[in-house]
Amino acid sequence: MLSERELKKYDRQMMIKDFGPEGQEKLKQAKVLIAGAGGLGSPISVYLAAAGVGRLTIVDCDTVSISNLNRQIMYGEKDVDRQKAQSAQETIAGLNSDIIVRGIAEKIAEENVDDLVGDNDLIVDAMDNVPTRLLINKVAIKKSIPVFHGAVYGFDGRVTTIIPGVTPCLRCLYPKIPPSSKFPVVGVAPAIIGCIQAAEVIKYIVGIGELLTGRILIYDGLKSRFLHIDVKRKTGCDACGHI
Amino acid sequence: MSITVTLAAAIMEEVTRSMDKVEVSGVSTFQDILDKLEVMFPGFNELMYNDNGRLNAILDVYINGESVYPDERVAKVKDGDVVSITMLYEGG
Repeated sequence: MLSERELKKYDRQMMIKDFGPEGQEKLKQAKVLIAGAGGLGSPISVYLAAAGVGRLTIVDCDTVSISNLNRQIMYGEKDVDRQKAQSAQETIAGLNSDIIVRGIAEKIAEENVDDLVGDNDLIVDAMDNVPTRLLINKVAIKKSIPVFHGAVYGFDGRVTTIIPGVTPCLRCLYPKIPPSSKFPVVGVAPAIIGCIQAAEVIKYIVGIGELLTGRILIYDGLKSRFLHIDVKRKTGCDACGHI
Repeated sequence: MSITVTLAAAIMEEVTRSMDKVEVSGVSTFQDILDKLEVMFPGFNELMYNDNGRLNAILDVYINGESVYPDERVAKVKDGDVVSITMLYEGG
């Protein structure tokens, strides 16, 4: 049940057609795991908290470094050398006291990914490496919960929404693992991509609009253009081929 | 009829002069498309494949929305198909 304060706080978004207090209540009841508290995880956490998603769990094992600050807007200079999970929890809790936020400073690995995903309704993939993204994908398929994927490079990025058994899974879209390397990025790229991921999550929970299912939205920041690629499940995918 | 090729990989923009879509015809495999693209955009194949003939590690190829890696070179295409070349971003 929404409090008087929440009804006031979320008034403007509840005015959106088919959103209303019912949509806001769905957001309040939602449990969302944000995997990664970096360039993507920052805007995702901020906007999901601001929208009133009831329970946010933010997982990241790293500490804040000075080179993160061009894009990871949950942190400031005072946070350098602090655990991102702890700092993110404080920032997000300060934005909205009507939600529950928990930061977990753990590395997502084969041994703990199942427990970390726990009873969350969905996962937002804000990781910085493909092997961990694929671990998340595996658990999402097992639990049959959606993954909201985003990734960036330079001024560019891509987003898609994955519904296990319906859309291509992350493995369908990453049939090989690109070499891990220090990648170029300017803060506005994960800001734009992360905001689109957050918008997808809100639409999914409230149940309005069309999702980026079965298509990848590619943002070309230097040319200021978006491209769409329609995508299908990969025949014989070793992650989702059995469902 | 022809085949639509979507070029959605930022690393190619210089070679492709930022064109994001081209039409090709008279081809039956992805390798045929590569040959045409090399004529249109000299240097294209060098970006697509490394010295060992392996697809660039950060690129993937879709035919009608389905990834055809690792058999992309021999993958069959026909008029009306949509072929996409895209980048595998990893960063977050």
